Amino acid sequence: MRETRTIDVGEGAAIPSKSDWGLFNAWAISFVGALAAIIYLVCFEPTPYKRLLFYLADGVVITFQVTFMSIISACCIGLVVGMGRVSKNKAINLVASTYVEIIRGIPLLVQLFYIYYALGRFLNVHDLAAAVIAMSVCYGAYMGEVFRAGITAIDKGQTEAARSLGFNGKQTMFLVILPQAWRTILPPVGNEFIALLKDTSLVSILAVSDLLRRGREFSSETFLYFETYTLVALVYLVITLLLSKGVSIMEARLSHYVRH
Amino acid sequence: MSATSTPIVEIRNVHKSFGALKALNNVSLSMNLGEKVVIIGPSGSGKSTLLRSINKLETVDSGTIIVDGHNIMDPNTNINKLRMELGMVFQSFNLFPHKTVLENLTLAPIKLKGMPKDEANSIALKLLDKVGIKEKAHVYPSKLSGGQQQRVAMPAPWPCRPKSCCLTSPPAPWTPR
Repeated sequence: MRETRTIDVGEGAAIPSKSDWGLFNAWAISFVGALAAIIYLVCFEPTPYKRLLFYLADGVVITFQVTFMSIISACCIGLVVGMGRVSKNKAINLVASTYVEIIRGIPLLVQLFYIYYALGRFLNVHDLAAAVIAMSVCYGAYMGEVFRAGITAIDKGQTEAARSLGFNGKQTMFLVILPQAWRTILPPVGNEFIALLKDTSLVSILAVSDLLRRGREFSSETFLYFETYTLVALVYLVITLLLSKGVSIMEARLSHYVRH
Repeated sequence: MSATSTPIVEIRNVHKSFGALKALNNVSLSMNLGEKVVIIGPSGSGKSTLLRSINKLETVDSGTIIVDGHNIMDPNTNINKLRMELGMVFQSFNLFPHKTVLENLTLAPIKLKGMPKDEANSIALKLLDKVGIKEKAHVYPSKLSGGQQQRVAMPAPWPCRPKSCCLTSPPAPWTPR
């Protein structure tokens, strides 16, 4: 049986593989360390850390909101773009490829400014909406490339087998190709999720009160820069590590049909 | 074979080239319902190409191929519907790795023919019993040996009850069952 090819994209964060699920691995050490540091600081130095943590909580909610909404829409855009990139229809292919080229060539921060400030001249975009739109448009292009790679990695024989049974192109894609591609692309997609979560910190430059912006607000009131950003970093670390663990669990559950 | 019955597959003057390589050179052939045809030739002589052409997995350069009375080159022909009548077993089996053995056999009849799941399952189980791997019905193809995969691939097109079955090059360990 042919092996499922894995695609290695090194951004976001390392997805722990099933083999290093022991006690002493990078993930466990970082996670336990970060969590212990937060608990220690809050319990033994409640001023300012306890107040700070409650102050940041609102920001964590906003960060989650932006991340969740952006992930959903970026996946949808990515799926459409990915299928467009492998489409035999030249016009669709060209549109999808051009989209990817343009978006990948512009830094996310510039895209954020563009949607919020530049387009703000013509239409009034709500700051949270602007943040989600910019994140989804940008990550939709990255995700599209991952989907494309996943689809093309599936053996051509699979398409032929499905077509020879009488499935049309759409059925072949959704019943045979995508379920298999999904397994292959899960690690890089998980990487994109984590990279996206971290990049949501960029939306703090708009008027979105995410985790980083709440930290900035707190530190500019209290001048406790060291304390504030230490806790902000630790909270980001805990969230990111949790997400990467979630992805690795999902990956393990989806790998039931692959021979190890 | 009876000369009076209408042929299920009729191939007339078919040509197909891959670049400079001429795979099919003026091939004509007629197969009747219930007839068994064996195509023999050395490697690379175009046996597989011919079978793939009948299923329109390859588009031929010229000539006509008529399956069950429909010209497959005609853009108005519903090739997907026609393919349901043409079972095909691939050289490399091409089982769906994300489906169990049973699901590999029942996917097409359930999704394409609207066959009830129970009926499809019982047909598939009977077929698996025939090839002697009924006990592997609920495992994934990656857990099967090469020979077992082949036994799944053999009956794979049958739950749809195709009128004709195109086998491409039964490999060496083909068991006499």
